[in-house]
Amino acid sequence: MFPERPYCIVYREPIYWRERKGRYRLVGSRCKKCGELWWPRRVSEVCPNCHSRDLEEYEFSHEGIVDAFMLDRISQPLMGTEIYGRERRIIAVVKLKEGVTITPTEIVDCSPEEVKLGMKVQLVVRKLRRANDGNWLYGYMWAPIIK
Amino acid sequence: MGRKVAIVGFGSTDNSDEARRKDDLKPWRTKVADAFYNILESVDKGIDLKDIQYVVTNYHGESSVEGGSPAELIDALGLAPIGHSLITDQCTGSGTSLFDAYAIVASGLCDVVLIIGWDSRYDSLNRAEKRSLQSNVDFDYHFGYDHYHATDMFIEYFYRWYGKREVLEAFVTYVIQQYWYANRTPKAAWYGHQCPIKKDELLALLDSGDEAGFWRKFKQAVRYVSCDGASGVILVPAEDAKKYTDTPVYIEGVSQKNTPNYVGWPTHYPVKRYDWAAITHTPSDKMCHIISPASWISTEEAFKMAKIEPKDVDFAEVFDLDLLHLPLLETLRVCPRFGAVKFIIDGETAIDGRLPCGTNGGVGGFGKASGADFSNMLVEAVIQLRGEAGQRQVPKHDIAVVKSAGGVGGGGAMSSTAVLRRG
Amino acid sequence: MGKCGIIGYGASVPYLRIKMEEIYEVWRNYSLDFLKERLGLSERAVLQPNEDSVTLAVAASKVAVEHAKIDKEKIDALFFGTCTNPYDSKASATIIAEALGLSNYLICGDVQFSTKSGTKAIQVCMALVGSGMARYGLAIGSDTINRHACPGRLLEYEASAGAASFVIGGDEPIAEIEGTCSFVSDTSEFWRCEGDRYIQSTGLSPGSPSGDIHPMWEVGYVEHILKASESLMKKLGLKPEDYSYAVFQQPFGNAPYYLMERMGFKEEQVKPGTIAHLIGDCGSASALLGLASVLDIAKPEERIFVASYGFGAGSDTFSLKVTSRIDEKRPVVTVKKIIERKKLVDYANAIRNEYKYLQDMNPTYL
Repeated sequence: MFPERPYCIVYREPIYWRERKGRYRLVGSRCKKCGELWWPRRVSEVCPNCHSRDLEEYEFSHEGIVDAFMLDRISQPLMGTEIYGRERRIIAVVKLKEGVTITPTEIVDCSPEEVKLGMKVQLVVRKLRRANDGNWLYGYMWAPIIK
Repeated sequence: MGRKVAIVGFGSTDNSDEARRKDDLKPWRTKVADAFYNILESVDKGIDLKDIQYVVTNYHGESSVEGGSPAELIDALGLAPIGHSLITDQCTGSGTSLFDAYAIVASGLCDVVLIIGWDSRYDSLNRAEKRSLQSNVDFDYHFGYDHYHATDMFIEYFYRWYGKREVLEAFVTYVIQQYWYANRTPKAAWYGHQCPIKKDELLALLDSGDEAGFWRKFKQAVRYVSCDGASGVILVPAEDAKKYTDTPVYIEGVSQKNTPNYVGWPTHYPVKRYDWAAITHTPSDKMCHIISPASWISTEEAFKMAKIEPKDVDFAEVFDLDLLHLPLLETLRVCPRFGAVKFIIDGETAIDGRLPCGTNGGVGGFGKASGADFSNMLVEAVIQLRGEAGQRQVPKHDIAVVKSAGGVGGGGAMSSTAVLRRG
Repeated sequence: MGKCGIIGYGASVPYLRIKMEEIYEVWRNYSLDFLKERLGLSERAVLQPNEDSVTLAVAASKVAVEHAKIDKEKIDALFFGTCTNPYDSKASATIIAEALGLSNYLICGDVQFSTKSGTKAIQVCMALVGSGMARYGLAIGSDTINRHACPGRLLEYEASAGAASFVIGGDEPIAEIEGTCSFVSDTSEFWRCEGDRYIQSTGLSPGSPSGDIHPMWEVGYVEHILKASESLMKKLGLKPEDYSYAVFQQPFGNAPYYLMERMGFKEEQVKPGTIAHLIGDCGSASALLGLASVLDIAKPEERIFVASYGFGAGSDTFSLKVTSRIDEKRPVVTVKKIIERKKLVDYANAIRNEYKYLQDMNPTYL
């Protein structure tokens, strides 16, 4: 009586793919009507300032300064498991020239003693973890600018 | 504003060690039912549970599209077929429930409304999967940051505002005070636990430069208990209050405000109608990502609705986990802006101070079940206002303020405030 | 075929390093003398858990594209050369393209050609630019051999990681590519089958004159580079004396020196481009990092000779001539500075970082 099921229902999460530009290049939104910048991107595509829905991509600057930092106090279970192979991470607040605060984020390629407030850092793309669907997730972290 | 509203019933689950030993046997539905029956018993002149017309309930929420436990709750309480609203608003959820329930009673739509906030750590839907920064969930949770990575950073900013030693001294003072209150609250998680630290010992460690030693010792005291739990109140119109009890508590003001949940939003959110720095009475050089405009706006509105001034407030129940009460206390304007630390060090939040605070042991000392946080504070405020607090009774108890914040956007993306008056 | 050359370049090397002594303390299977004197190794790079050949390639390419001072939209081709791709059956070149913000209309591809994948990518981009199919091409050589070296083998002492990226274009290059020549044969002294984790080798042959430094040294590395460079120099009518610099594939620090006598190059030509004694075998980036460090110091009108080698893939050779534009487009941070910025780790940390402790199959966490 009932038609045969034509396919298996498989649950995949396109959320990682959808948000990749933000992770790779710090792409947020810019309202075309009032010109304001938004970080993170306006997923809902509504500008809170003028309520226009006409937004475009805006890539924030890839250099910033360290506004605050700390060592993470507990290795937090992620997806039920420890983050493999990490010593205590340097979690930080990074401020960009647009006035936007990127937080929480991580400082890499640096020992904790070297990190200073106001230190200039630049965006580097690193592996984060495997996504639910098995693909590797890449995303931003911040490394000191070598002079 | 419609009818005035009164609280006639109040109750919560028991968070003491004794009661929590059986936790594994009690799924969240049982806990919610326990709290419910505790609330019913507290109505002095009795109330028939069949009189309850509507339930507004809340839990922390998973900040995802899924989630929600609708009909299960009504069934668990045996109240079918009445209606209910389910709210998820993180740590301030029960404040939002209060706001909604107030509106339902004040409008005349219902005459007896139950609020019950709850949370369960284990039974809920795949927490590890959905565990996120509670901000723009499309984004941050990919990175493997937890809410604690954001909130742990707050203390760095408190150090900058108040000075490191002052902050830590206030923290120590406040925790010792929490133990004092909790030991006089039989339902508190810290009930029966003596405070393991002494203020001068800890400060001596800090002053001698042994910060690692300070934290090692201090951590023994700051053992916030995160547990399953539920609590709530019953609301009726003020004109009916005396049918249920001779000592109702009236809700004079209630407010709930929401702002973005991205942690760093206050430093850059160009909505031109609002000057976030001015709203939060912050000079521009102190403006940073932990300022919470929602908590300032919600306090102001609640005070205005209740027609009170800061001088009228007798005691406050404020969300006091991990020093988050520092900015929240300042919104009450009982102490000056950036004066909360001195206020605590001077003992003004102790039982004999100007503004007793966290009188049931505070959120961490009583037991933190996120959805029930605000309602636990609400229940405590009601008990104090009615003069039934026993050894921890606040001397002057006419007007109370209950205030919480939730989410990590700014220092609290959502904030609810309630002003209560003794009837 | 039109002329083309290098418009910009960038390099990236992991931040962590491990000393030969650390590995020796654990295994004691090759003498320190052999490693340090005969092979010429001191340290090699160790990956952090958040690094792989893609992240290194992105870091190098960002520098290259920025210093090439061209419009990103005009990059029409991207070829990612690696033999240690994080994916067996999915392109990584597109991840790099998106991370750099290039146009979506790209002739794009992963190139796997053993440890000369990087120079292969350069050849592909040369062809596309020269034929007019692309205005600019981005050729990247990147490898993380250290992740695929079995603990306890000789390769583990040498295997390192790095990336070098070159923007290839027709007009106004900083270094003109005068010509290129390749020589290939099926000579697999190293290999890694589909699905395998570790690169295996035939092993050393202590009997032969130089067979005790590298598997099949003579018939592999030496023969292919000699044949390819002879052919190139004959084609261009040049001799070793015409070059100011000679850069070779460097599985270990002394490899170029063993070769230089056979080819007629002098030490001062070979020394500037040799970095493996500091950093180990960077695979596809080996010769290219050497080229980048030479470009950091080269002067206009000087000639550079580059020879790369891949096990089973033969050798590619290039002849480059530096132009007067080189001073405008050098990266601010030289390869020397990148190599100098480092942090040493011990063996236990290196093994953990490179995922060599057995855990579950197919972990779903990082």
